This record gives sequence, C-alpha cells and structure tokens, in this order.
Amino acid sequence: MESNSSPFHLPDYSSATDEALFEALKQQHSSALSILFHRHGRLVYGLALKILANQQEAEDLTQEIFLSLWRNAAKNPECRYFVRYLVTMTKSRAIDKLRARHRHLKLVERWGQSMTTEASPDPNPLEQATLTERSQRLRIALEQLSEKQRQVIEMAYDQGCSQSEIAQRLEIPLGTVKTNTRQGLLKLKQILLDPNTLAL
Amino acid sequence: MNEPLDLEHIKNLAAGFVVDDLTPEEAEEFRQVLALYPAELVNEIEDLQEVLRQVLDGFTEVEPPPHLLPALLNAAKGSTNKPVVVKQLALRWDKIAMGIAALLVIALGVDYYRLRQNFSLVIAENQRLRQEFGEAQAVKALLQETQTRLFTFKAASSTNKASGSIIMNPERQKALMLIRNLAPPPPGQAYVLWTIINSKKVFCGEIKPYTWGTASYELPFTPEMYRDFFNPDFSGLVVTLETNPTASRPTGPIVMQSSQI
Repeated sequence: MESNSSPFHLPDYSSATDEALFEALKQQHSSALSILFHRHGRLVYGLALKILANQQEAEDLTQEIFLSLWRNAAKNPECRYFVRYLVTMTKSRAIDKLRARHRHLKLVERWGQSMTTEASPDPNPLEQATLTERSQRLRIALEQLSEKQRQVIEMAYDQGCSQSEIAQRLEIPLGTVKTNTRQGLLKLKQILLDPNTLAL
Repeated sequence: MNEPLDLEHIKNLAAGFVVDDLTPEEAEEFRQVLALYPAELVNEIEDLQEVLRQVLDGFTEVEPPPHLLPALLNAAKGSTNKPVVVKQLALRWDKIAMGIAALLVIALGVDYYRLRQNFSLVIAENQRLRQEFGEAQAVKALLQETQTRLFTFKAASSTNKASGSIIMNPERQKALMLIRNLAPPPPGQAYVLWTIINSKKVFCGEIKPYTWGTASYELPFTPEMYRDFFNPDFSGLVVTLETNPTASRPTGPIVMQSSQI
C-alpha cells in the first residue's frame, strides 16, 4: 500500500485494515492518525466526557490519548490493537485525572452534571437518528445477557467505572466482575457480530 | 504448552486481554498462546475489539467537536519522532549569502506549515462530508421507496416555533420523527402522537427523543399503527401535551398538527 515512507506523503487509508494503519502510524503518516481519529475519536471523547464530566478536559484527554498512540506506535507493538489501547488508556488516564483532582462526586452526580452543564455540540437530526439506532441495537443485545453481565458492562463502559469500583458497588468479588465482563463480551460477540441475530 | 488447548479458556483470556484485566500470570499465558497461534488469536482479538467498539458506540451520545482533529494533527506534527537531519552550512559562504538562505528557509517553512495546516483541515472537512453523505443516502433510500410517506408538522399556536416531520415506511416498519424547536415538556407531562381516523384521535405513542430542541426519534410503531396510516378515514396526525402519556384518549392541548406531503 505504501511506497513513499515520507510522513508528509498522504495516501488514502480510508479503507485500510488496522494492520496497514498500524504500519503507517509507525512511519508517522499523519493521514493514518486522521483515519484512526475518524474511526475511534467519538469513543475516546465520549468515554472521557462520561468519566471527567468536563468538555474541555475531555477534549484535552482525547488529544493526549491519540498523541500517545502516535508517539508510541513504533515502540509498543500492543498499540496495534487500537480499540483496546484507546479504551484502556482513556479509562485509566481519565480515572487518574479524577483522582488527581480529588473529585469525590458520586457517579450519578458526575453523570447528571455532564448531562446538564456541558454544552456538547448538538448532533443534527441525521446524526441523532444514527445514534438512536446504534443505541437501540446495543440495548437489544444487552437484554440477552445475564443481569450481572449486563450490569458490569454498563457500569464499565456507560458509566466509566473501574473494576474495583464495580466490585464495591455491586458487593461482589473482583474475580466475579472479571468473569462477568469477559463472558458478557463473548456473549455480545455472538449477538452483535452475527447479522442474523439482530435485525432492527 | 503440553496440555491440550482449552478453547473456552483461550477465548476467556482473549476477552480479558481486550478489556485489559488479565492477571500477570494470565497475560504471560496469553502471550505464549498468541505466539503459537497468531492468526487465529488475532482474528479473535479483532472480533472482540469490534464488539467493544460497538458497545462504546451504543453508549456514546456525543460527537467530538470538529476542531479537535485539526488540533490533534497540528500537535502530532510537532511531535514527530523522525530524526531531523541538520546540514552544516558551508563555511565559505559569506554572511550575506547565509542571511538570504536563512530568510528563504523561514519563508518556505511558513509556507509549508500553512500548506500542512490547510491540508489537515481539508481532511477533517472531507471526513465530515463523507459521514453526512452516508447518512443522507440512508434517508434518500427511504424516500425512494414507493410506500414511504412524509408528513410535516407545524405548531398549533402562532407563538410556538416548533416544527417537525415524520418519514415512515410500512414495509420496512421504519418511522422517524424529526423535530425542530420543540421545547422539553414541562415536568410530569409528555408529548404524545395521535393519528386522526374518522375524526377520532388514535394513540400512536409518546415522543421521547434523547434531546429536545432539534432532534430525531425513531417511533416504535406497532404493525397496527402502520396500518392506521392507510385507513381510508385517516386524515392526519397531531401531537398533544399530556399528563398521562399512556392514556387512550387525549385530554391535553394540541401542540403540533400535520399536513401530508
């Protein structure tokens, strides 16, 4: 795919696989970074905003996470698993930032604050329709999990809780949180990646 | 690795790897299995990452602000890891020639910076347009189907700026309501949609988008509700403000009413 290794040469990576994008990132091709942001930017920003409940901090963290991917791609082979890297880094750094701020607001309060005080750009009607469809599709899939599996996945990725926080709030051992998270993800794989199981 | 492979155990480890909760022992075990079966496990990891992406996508209701990508690309430009090659200027050049060269370098550098900055903005804009185009195509496809019907709504009161439209297709069982300037209902009240058949209002469900103002909402119509639109006595739709959003008859005021296109 890549014949020119200059970082300033900008080939079209819009349909590139993660593997090809990873190689391009290692070569510091900014167009690869742009495509990755296009594919995963809303996940990082959305998760950061949920945890930090502050639009400016979420923007800063989103930039920090993608820059860390940009800088570390050549050194760290695990960057190749982009979603894993971005989600793990976002959760971990956002939680660190919260602790550093000594913010001990309860999660519900943080969530409430993010919904009422943060002025995120309003999606247009078509964007909103897409968001609604994505959300409905996920809700249908989550309904097919066991109650514990659904709870831990919602708490981890909708509310931005750490696993120890989930264990504490649900009053279950950390090992049970891990088992339910992993089994829930495997079950969701069967549901979400099989086109016949979910038809809206 | 002399023991037979336990597929369920390996899948469990792969899920733990993707959500990043493996213990150090599990991480080491997974590293060894990954080295032995890279092709199979990379596929499994990619599938699980796609699931995680869809989970987060479904929970996310915001888009990153449009200025974030150009800012990121600018910041990335300033942190490129490529080694910088510095050429020594020949000592035989006199001071004037060195001055001219330095000015040229600065001028070219500024031009190059501007070019890159513009290019980043063009990439971001191109991506935004491609996304909007994809979404518009989906609505266009719905509009091209013969069974699709479109209704527009106007506020019942001249002081109210609310408006909206419904696009629905009974064959695809899809109905989407787009609203504009519709204020949130007062606490304890809800907007309810009704079809008017033979001068009677028939319940069509509560309107509850994620946000108010300008938004869209996929209406969870039952097959019977879709059929109501094709009833020979069907004459339109209204939105009322109700205290009981599940009541079978409207008691509140009409907020918006439709006209079919």
